[in-house]
Amino acid sequence: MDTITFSTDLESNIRLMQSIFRGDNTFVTRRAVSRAGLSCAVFFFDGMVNNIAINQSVIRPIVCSDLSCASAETICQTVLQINDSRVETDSSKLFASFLYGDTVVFTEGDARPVVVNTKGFSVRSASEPENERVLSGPREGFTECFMPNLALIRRRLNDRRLKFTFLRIGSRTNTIVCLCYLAGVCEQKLITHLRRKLEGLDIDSVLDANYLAERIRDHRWAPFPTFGTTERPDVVAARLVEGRCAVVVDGSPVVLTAPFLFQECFQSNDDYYISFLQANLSRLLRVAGFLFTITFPAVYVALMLYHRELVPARLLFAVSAAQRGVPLPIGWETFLMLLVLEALKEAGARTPGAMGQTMSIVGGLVLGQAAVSARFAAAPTVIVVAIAGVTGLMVPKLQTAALWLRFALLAAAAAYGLYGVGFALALTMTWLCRMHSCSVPYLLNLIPRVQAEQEDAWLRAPWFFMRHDRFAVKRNPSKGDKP
Amino acid sequence: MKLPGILLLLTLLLCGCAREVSPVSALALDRTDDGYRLTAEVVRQDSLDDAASPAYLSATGRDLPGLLSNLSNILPGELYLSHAQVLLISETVAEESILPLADYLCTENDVRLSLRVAVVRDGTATDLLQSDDEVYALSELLDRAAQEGTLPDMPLYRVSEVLHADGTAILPALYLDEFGQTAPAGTAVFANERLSCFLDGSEIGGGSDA
Repeated sequence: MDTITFSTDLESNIRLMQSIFRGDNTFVTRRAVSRAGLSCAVFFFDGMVNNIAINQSVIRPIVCSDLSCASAETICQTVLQINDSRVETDSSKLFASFLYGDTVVFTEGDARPVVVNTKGFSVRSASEPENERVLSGPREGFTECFMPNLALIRRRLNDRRLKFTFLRIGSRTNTIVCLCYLAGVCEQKLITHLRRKLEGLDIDSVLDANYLAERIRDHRWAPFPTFGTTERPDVVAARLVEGRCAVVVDGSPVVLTAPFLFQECFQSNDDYYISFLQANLSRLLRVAGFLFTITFPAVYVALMLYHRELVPARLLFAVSAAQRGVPLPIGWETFLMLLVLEALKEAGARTPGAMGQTMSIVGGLVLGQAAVSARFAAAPTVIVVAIAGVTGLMVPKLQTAALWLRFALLAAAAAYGLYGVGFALALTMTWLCRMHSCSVPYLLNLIPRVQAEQEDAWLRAPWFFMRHDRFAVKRNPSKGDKP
Repeated sequence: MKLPGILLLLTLLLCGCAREVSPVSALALDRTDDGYRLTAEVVRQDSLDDAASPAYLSATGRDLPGLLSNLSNILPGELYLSHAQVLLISETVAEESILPLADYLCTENDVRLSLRVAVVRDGTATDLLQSDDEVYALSELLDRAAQEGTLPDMPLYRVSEVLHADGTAILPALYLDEFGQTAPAGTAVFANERLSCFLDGSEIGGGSDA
C-alpha cells in the first residue's frame, strides 16, 4: 500500500479516511468532542470490533475528558482507558491493524493517529477437531482466530523460551503468519531455514496453511507429506518440545509443523494418552494397514495373472469361477473398481451431513452387489478393493501416498507381476530414502542407530522408559537445552 | 508429471488379458494298442455358489509331449498343471521304464515336483480316476495313507531321484474294491526302473493290517 500522509487538520484527515474507504458500508466514522472542546475522530469497521470496548474505553473517556487540546501521546497515555494502544506513524502498519479490527483515533492538531486494540469479531469455540478425535486426552482444538490459537499453545508451554515471531505474507490478504519455536531447543538453522523460506514468498493470498505448506515444502511432487499438520494445540506443544518449529496462519485452524518425519505418519494422538501396550499394537496395525492398502490389489492382480501356482487350489478355482463372464481383464477390472471406490469416497465427503454417510453405505453396498450380479465385476475383486479401501483409512496422513502408490503398484503388477510389484516398492523405498524435510532425513530414526532415538519410532516406549523428551529430531541432544 | 502419468497408463495397457485356464487336479496314464491314453481330471466351477466338480477328458498319443499337446487341444482353456497333485499310472505303463516319464515331468515348468505318483493295480488308471466325483479325493486319500504309513509317500522328484540312483523304487498302489471305491493296494516295487511286484500291507510290515 502506498504511503499516506495525514495532516494536523482533523477535518482533512476525516475526509482522507472517508475517501480511502468510499464504497465500504462497514466503515464507521464517529466524532467525539470533550467537555472542554477537544475534538477527535474515531474510525472502525462494524462487525470487526468489540463495541463495548470502543464505547467504554475510547469514546466515553474522550467525551468525559477535561482537556481542550491534546497530542496523540496524551490521548494514548492519559485519556484512553484500554490496555493496548499506541501512536502509529507507519501508514502501512496503521492500515494493517485497522483492517484487522483495531480502532484508529485522530485528534485535532496532531497528524499522528492512535491505534487502539479493539478486535472483537466472532469466533467459534475451541472444540475438538473432527478429524483428530481421541479416546482420552485433551479435547481442545485450534480455531480460525489467530491470537487465541497462540494462547492455546502458550497455555501448554509455560516456558520463557517459547517464541512467537510474526510475519506478514500475501500482498492482498496481508495474512499474519507466526513462526513458533522453543529457543535453544529448536536448532537455529531450522528456524533460519523456515524463516527465509516464508519471507521469500511473493504471493497474493494466504487463506489456509496449505497455501504455504505446498510452496515451502521439500519435494513438492512427492505424495508423502513433508510438513506435519494438526488442529490440536497439545500436538503442537509436543512437537515444539521435540525441537520442531510450528507455523500458525491467521484464519486457519491448521498448524504446520516441521520437520516432519515418515514415522509421524503412523503416530496418533491417542498413542500418548492410552496404555503403551494398546498404543503400540494400534501403531503396528497402522503400518500393516498402509502396506496392505498399497499392495493388496497389486498382489491380487499379479497372482491371478502371472502366479496362479502360488494360489491355493480351491481359492484359485473360486476366483476363476467368479471371474467367468466378467468382460474386463482382471487388471483393468481392479483399476476401475478402485476408481469407483475413490468416486464413492469423494461423493461421500462432498455430500453434506448424514446424506454423505447414507450415500457411501448405499453406494458401497448396492453398487457392489449390483456390479457382481450384473457380472460387471467379480466378487473377489470387490472384496479386495473394499479391504484396500478400509485399510487405507487407517493412516489418514498417508492417504494421498496410498492412493497414488496403489495405482502405480497395480500397473506394475498388471504389466510385470510380482517382479513389477517388488521393483516398484524398491523404487518407492529409494525415493523415501532420498527425501528430506527441512534438511532432516525423512526416514530418520526408523533405522536403529541410536537407542535413545528409538523410543518413539516404530513403537512408543512406556513413559517410564523415555529418557529424552526430544527423541525425534535432534541427533545429539545436549544437557544445556533440555526443556 | 505428465510424462510419468502417461507412461503409467501405457504400462497398464501392457497387462495381459486374463487367460481362461483349465486346471487339472489329477492325471491318469494308460497303455493302448498303439500308444498311450492320458486322462485329465479337470476342475469345473461355474460360480462361487457351486462346489468344484471334476470333468474328465482323454487324449491319445505315442509319447507324453504328444499326449499333453493333444489334451490341451481339446480343453476349453489353457492346460494348467500347476495344481495337479496325483499321477496314476496303470500296471501296463509301469511295466515299462518309468524313468523317462518322471524325468520329462520334472522338467515341465507347470508340473509341481510334489506331484504324487501311484500305480493302479488290476484295472485301468482312467477307471480309477473316474470312480470318484470329488476333486482332490485321490490326493487326500494318498495324504492320509502316507500319514498313517499304509502307503509310501513318493512325490515326483523322489521317484526320479531314486530311479536315477539305482533303478529301484517303491510307489503307492491303489485299486478299485468290490464296491467300486478307491482303496490302498499296498506297495508297487520297481527294479531296473520297471514294475517288479506288489507288496501288500502285511508284507511291508508297516501297514494298518500288518
